[in-house]
Amino acid sequence: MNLYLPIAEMPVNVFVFLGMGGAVVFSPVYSASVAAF
Amino acid sequence: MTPLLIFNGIPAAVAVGTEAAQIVASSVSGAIAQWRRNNVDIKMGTVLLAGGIFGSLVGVQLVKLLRQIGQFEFFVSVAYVTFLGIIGVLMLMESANAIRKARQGKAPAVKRPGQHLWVHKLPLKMRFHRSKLYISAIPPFAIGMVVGLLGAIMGVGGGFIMVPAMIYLLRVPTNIVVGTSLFQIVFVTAFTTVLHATQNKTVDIVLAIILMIGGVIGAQFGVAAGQKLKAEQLRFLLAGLVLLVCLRIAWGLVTMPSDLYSISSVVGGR
Repeated sequence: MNLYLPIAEMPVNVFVFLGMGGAVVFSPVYSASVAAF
Repeated sequence: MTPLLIFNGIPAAVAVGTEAAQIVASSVSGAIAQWRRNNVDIKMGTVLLAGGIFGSLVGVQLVKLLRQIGQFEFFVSVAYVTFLGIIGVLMLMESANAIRKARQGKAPAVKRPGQHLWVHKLPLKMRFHRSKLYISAIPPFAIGMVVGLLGAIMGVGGGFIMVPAMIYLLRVPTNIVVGTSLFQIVFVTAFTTVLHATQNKTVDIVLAIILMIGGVIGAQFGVAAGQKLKAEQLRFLLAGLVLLVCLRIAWGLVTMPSDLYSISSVVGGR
């Protein structure tokens, strides 16, 4: 499913970017794990 | 995250601006949870925030300048290779050590709140009640500023710098660190997003919404995965990922571009 981005001026596949959004959860998990040691 | 967007063809400036919006969204719920547990040192957070706002202002202007001279994409790539390389190697070494010690059955060394460092003795001393510290306000301001600057230029939350810096440099108790850094990140990245949107016009709301939805869905799996894996294994995995991304950007910097004529507009166009 392609969607046009107004500012980037390009179409993208929504599912690829949904997956990438999911990948970002690692950053809070990482911060928490750093604080644990 | 910003490099992943750039790999997928999003212009670097849009990736950085939009990522700031995504970080605000993904940090808010964590910050509220930490606030409820009383894990936020408001005074320390405010000093970090003041530094962050200043750093962000400078950073956004720098982005504007670099875009005007057409060097922003290159600058971001070099910045990422440098930072990801350093962080990846440090994380890999630290987590490999932790895994080896765990296998040998040794308990991890406990860090004690030791002597005062020279940075604590600078002027403008302040009392931070929640962190039980009486130190100069200059180091937290400087840390906040670096984080704000990097956030504006590279589109990172800055937790990866702020958390170790607060633990080792400021000696803030570890339970306060995560809450206070999230408090700073939410406000600084929100400010950065607004600045990018108004000054550079590089926040793509459609992209930001897609990423936020992905973040909400991914968070459900991330928490489950985080509970199954040990902290040091998670850090080891993440270090590998960080180094891979670093190599991928470095590769893009040194290989021949597919469209050689893209250079002519910069070199010959003057």
